[in-house]
Amino acid sequence: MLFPVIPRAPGSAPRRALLVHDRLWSFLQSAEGDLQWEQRVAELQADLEVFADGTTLGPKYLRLLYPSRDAVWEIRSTGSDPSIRVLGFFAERDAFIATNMALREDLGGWQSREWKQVKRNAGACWRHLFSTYQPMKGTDIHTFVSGALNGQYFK
Amino acid sequence: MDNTSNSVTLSRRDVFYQRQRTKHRFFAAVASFFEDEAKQESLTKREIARRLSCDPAQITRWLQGPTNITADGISDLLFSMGAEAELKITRFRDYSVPNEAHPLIEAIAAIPEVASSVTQTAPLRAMFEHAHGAVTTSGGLTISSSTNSGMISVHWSNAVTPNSVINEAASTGIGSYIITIGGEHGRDKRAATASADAVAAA
Repeated sequence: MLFPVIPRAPGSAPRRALLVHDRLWSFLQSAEGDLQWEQRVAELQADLEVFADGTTLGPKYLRLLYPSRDAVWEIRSTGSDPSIRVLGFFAERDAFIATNMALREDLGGWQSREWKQVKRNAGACWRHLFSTYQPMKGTDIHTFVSGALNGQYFK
Repeated sequence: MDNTSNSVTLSRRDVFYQRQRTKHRFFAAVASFFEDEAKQESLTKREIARRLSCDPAQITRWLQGPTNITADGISDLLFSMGAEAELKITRFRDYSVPNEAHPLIEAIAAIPEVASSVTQTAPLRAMFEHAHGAVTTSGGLTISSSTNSGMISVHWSNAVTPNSVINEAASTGIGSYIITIGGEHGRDKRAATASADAVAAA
C-alpha cells in the first residue's frame, strides 16, 4: 500500500506528489522514542516533504542511481546521523513512488553488494505495486521534476 | 502540523521537524537566487569566492545542501551577490489554504478518510464498499471483489497513467484507490484478505 506524504506545515502547497510504501510510512508514523530517534524521524519527514513542496530540488537531494537504465532514484536525508537513502521511481513527472529506504552506513561503496540488493528490493517493490507498468526512464532531470536546479543528477 | 499556542507543549518531533523545514526553506531561497543570478548575470561560484576572498570549495559546500549553510553563510552569499534576505514572519494560523497542489495529491486529499486521517483501513474500506462484483470505469480502471474470499483486485491498462487513473476515478466517485492498488495487486494475499475481512466485519 502507498501513502501520500502531504506537508504537515500549514500553508504548504504540495506541487509534486510523493507516495511512500508501508514500511517507510510506518517509520514516519513511529511511536515516540529517544531524542536521537525523534530528531531522525522528524528530519526525514521534513526532507521528504521537500520533494512535495520545495520550490527547487538539487542534485545533492535527488539523484539517479547507477545504472540509469534501472530508473532507481534516491532522495538523500543527510541532516543528522545516520544518513538515510530513500529509494524509488518516478511514475510520471513530479510523481515519485518511494519504495524502500536504507541507512547509508550499511551500503558501502556505490558498487557494493548491499547497494545492488537495496536497488533490487526497490525494483521488486515497484513490480509488486504496479506489475507491468513501467517507471519513467531517462537522464534529463527536467523531464522528471519541475524546479530542478542545474547540476549532475546521475553518475 | 497543528497550530501552536501558549497552552501547548510542543513535541520534540515537531520541534526537530520545524528546524529542518526552516533550514530547507532558507537553503532553497538562497540556492534559487544563486541559480537565477548565474543565468542572468553569468555569475559563478568561483566569482563569489573571489569576492569573498575564500576557497571556491566553501561556496560549493554552502550551495550543496541545507546542512552546510549557516546564518553567516547566507549573509555572505547574498551580500556577495548584491542582495540581502527580506524576512517575513507569518503565524501558522494566518496562512491561507494553498490554492495549488499536484493533481494526484488533490485527488487523494479530497477523500474524507484521507483528509481526516490516512490509515491502513480507511482507503480499503472505501474501496471495498464500491467493489461489489466488478466495476470498470471508462478510463480503464477495473475494481473487482470476490465475496467468497474477500479479495479485492484492481487493474488498469498500461495505456493509462496513474494521474489519468486518479482523475478519471475521482470523477466517477471512486478516486484515491491508487494508494491501495499495490496492496491488493501484489503477492501478499494473506494480508490483503485479512484486511478485507476486518473491514467486512467492521
